[in-house]
Amino acid sequence: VYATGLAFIRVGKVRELLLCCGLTLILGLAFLYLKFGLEWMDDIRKHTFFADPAFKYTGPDAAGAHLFYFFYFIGTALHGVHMLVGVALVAIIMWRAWRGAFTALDHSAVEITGVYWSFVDMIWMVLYPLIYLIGRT
Amino acid sequence: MPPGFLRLALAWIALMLLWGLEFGITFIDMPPSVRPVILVVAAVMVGIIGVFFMHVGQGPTVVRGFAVVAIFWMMILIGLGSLDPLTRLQYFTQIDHPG
Repeated sequence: VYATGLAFIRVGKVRELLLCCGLTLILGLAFLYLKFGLEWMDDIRKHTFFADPAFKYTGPDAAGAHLFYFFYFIGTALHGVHMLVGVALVAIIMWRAWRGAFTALDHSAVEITGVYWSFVDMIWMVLYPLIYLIGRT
Repeated sequence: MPPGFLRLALAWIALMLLWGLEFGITFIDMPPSVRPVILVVAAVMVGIIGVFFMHVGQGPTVVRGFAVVAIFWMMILIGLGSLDPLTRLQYFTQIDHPG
C-alpha cells in the first residue's frame, strides 16, 4: 500500500499519498495489535514466555521448547520495535504530506521511508516461515 | 492509477501466490533436514520485495552489493539462531501448567 502511495507522489498526487499512508498505518497498527495485543497475551497466559517461572513445558527435553520460545519472543519483539519505528515514520510522512512538504520532484523522505518499510516486510518474510511454518511440516 | 501500479500489483499477486505455496508445503510430511526448503520460497519473496518495492536493482553497484550482503547476513543470523529449535525431531515435554 505504501509503495502505491510512493508511486502517486512521483506524479505529484499528494491526496492519494495521504490515503495510502493512512491505510498503511491502519494495517500496521492492526498487525501490532494482533501480534502483541492478542497472540502474545495468549502465549503469556499459557505460560510459554521463556522467563516465566511456571514455564508450560517441563521434563528432560524442555530446554528445546524453551529455546524455541526464546527465539519466538525475541524475534517478534525486535520485529515489533522495527514496526513501531516504521509506523511512526509513516505517520510523520503523512503529517508532512498534509502540510504540503512533498512534490513530484522533492519527496526523498517518502522514498527512504518506503525502503525502510519494505525492509521491515522482508524481516517478516523470513521470520514467519521460521516461527509458524517449518514446525508444522 | 499511477505509472508503475501494474508492476506493483503483479509483484503483490506473486507474493500472495508464493505465500500460498509456502503454506501449502507445510502440509507435506517432510523430514527435519528438508524443512528449510521453505526458506527458499521465503528467499524468493525477499527478492521480489527488494527488486519491485525497494528498487534495489536501480541503484549503483555499491548499493546493490550492500543490499545483497545485508540480506545474506540477515538470513544467516536468523537462520542459525533458529537452527537448533527447528531441527529437533520432537519435544517430549511434560506440561505442568496447561493453558
